[in-house]
Amino acid sequence: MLQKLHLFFLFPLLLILFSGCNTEPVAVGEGSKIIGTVTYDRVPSKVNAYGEVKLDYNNIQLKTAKYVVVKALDENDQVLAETTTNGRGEYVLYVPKNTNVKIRVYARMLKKGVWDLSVVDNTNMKAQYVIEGGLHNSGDGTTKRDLRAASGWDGYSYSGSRDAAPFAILDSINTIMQKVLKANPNIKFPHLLVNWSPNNVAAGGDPSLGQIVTSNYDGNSNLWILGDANSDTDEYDDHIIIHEWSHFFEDKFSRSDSIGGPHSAGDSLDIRVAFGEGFGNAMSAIATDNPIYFDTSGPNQSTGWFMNIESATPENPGWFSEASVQRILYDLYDANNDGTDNLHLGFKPIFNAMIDKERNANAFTSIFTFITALKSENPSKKSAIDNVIAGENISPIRDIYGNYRTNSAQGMYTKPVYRKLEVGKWVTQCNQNTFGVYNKLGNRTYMTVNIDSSDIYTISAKPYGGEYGDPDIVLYKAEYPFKSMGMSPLEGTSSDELTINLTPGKYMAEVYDASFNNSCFVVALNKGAGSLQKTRTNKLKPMMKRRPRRMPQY
Amino acid sequence: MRKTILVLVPLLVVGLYANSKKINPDEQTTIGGTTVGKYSKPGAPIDMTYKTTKINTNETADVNITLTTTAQSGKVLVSMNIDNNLTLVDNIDTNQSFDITPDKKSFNIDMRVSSKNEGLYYIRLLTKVQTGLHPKLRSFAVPVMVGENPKPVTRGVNFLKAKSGENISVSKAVETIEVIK
Repeated sequence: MLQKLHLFFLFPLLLILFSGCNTEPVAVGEGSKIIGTVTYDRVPSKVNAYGEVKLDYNNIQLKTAKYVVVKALDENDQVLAETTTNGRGEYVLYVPKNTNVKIRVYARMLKKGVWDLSVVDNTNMKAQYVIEGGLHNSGDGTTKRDLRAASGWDGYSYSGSRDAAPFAILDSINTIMQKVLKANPNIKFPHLLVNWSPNNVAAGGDPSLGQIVTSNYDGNSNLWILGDANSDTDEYDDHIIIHEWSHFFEDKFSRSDSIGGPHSAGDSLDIRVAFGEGFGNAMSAIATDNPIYFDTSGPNQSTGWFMNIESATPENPGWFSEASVQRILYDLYDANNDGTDNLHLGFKPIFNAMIDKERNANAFTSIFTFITALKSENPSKKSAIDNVIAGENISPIRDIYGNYRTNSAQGMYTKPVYRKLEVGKWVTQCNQNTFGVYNKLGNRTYMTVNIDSSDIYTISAKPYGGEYGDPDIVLYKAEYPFKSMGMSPLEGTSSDELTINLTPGKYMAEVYDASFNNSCFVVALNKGAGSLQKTRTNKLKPMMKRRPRRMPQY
Repeated sequence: MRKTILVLVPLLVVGLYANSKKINPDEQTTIGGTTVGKYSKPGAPIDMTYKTTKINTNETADVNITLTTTAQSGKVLVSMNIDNNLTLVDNIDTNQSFDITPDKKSFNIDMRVSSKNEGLYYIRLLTKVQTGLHPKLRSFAVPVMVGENPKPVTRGVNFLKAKSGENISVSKAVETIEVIK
């Protein structure tokens, strides 16, 4: 009877012990050793006989997945060991002996305290992309398990899952991060989430459906990358990845006042847009040491376009041109002396200028603030820097406001770049849409404002000859982070004013015609509240739609 | 009886309110979007605005597309790819070309499509702006929604919840194994 009782209690205990029993991890150096290399397929680009660029699936390269998270799991999906690959894609893990183990690799680069970035599927609940090997016995010695993320290309199309894409994106970002680390080994990159999916299309709408408009940085620590096969994929277009990452860099380490909007190499742009976009393009060439920026698209990714960051024929050179900015930055960086470029600064001086004086400039970020910063930190190179910018039809830059411009882009009201608005006085400003609307040269006027005493102030804008317009006034505190403090409230009126409490300091006013007509305004700054009355037909305008503000973090 | 009335009256009021709200059929069935004012990666200086109608299977959707360029002269070349699940109702040329002049920088493309299957489909446009020196391209996609709440399809991956609780999208790696010792 006693024996039966023992069995009665023993049997369930044994059942509990052996069923759902978790494998215990082992310490490093104990158990069985698993080593391996993680690789991915990288599809390179190629320029064809017609000058078009395409993805070259005939020459897929095997590349290592660097600094990615690797885990060993048992058959119950319990993590037994975890590590990251090194700079050669290699990993080492220690697991219990004679245990069924699988290796899982995450599309996540992690180095604690230095970087943490993941590629997730924004159309599938932000699921983290991983690749997995099979369950195999760990034995009692050392085994080598190499894992590869395949491209999914079968020779004719993408028939399989595009596992390599997330790792290709990470590798492009790693390239630029290593460049930045060389300039500052102590830098710590904030967390970054990269959203990529084969469903990511060039449509506006719901990002959870993949409707992301275009590859972009959203100003909130997210990159969004197109993945629409046979239309527009960007996972292998490394210059695009790095360009977008550069906006993340500006956000977190420097400052960009760009207002976004459409832009192209030959455009006469708002100076903030010209610099922001030119900087991104230049960074892509600097990071890869390859001045050919390319974007593949179309059926089988067999078409596309490219531009030579270094030597493209200037279309409309000047301080308002993103193409001029990118050529200048690349010339400052590279060792190739060409034209008026006899300078080889490397990346570090550019980096140092961006994270300090550019970030803290008291004017809008532009080629003026950058070159002023660069010259200030490299005084022995001032003449050589002036020679480089002269090659882009830009006269010597002496200050952050771009005074003494000789190139007006053949526009009527493009000089001076900044006007001075003093208390108790007025200035006239004119807006032109010759070069386009919203973010083009001549659309907006910048005015420096100095306040000596705390008080209520009103900036007003009234019509001045010519076409009627709808003035908008935005006021910024002219110091990092260069925040917008207020905006004039009326919409659809020919006059407007902004009344605001101000303390002593420097400010910047931006005045423009919200309807982007060719119009002029008298702009005045006075102490006290304004006198403009709202009428029944007027309404408060919503916050101006701007490119999402990228607020840098400390 | 009194308690029954006390319960029924509020329910009746709610029901009447719900039915009295006017439903605008346009709001329910029209989808629109634009790239104007939004950030663009480098590429052709062109924006797209679209309007489509949400439809059920075998119904016809009106698709209205407007392409606007900031180029001053040259050509806009458009190559359209209609999703395999969509049928073009009208016989329009899927390859079109427009001349840019200072007075003409906006171009309309209108079409009608239908589908036998529910889903989220796209009309894809590849545009090229030729202004002489360096032609550039830009892609756009116009969504056509067929049925109720169609979603994109994710093929070839396995969505899982890892033991740690994270969402993971799992694919099979190409693996080679070698016993070293």
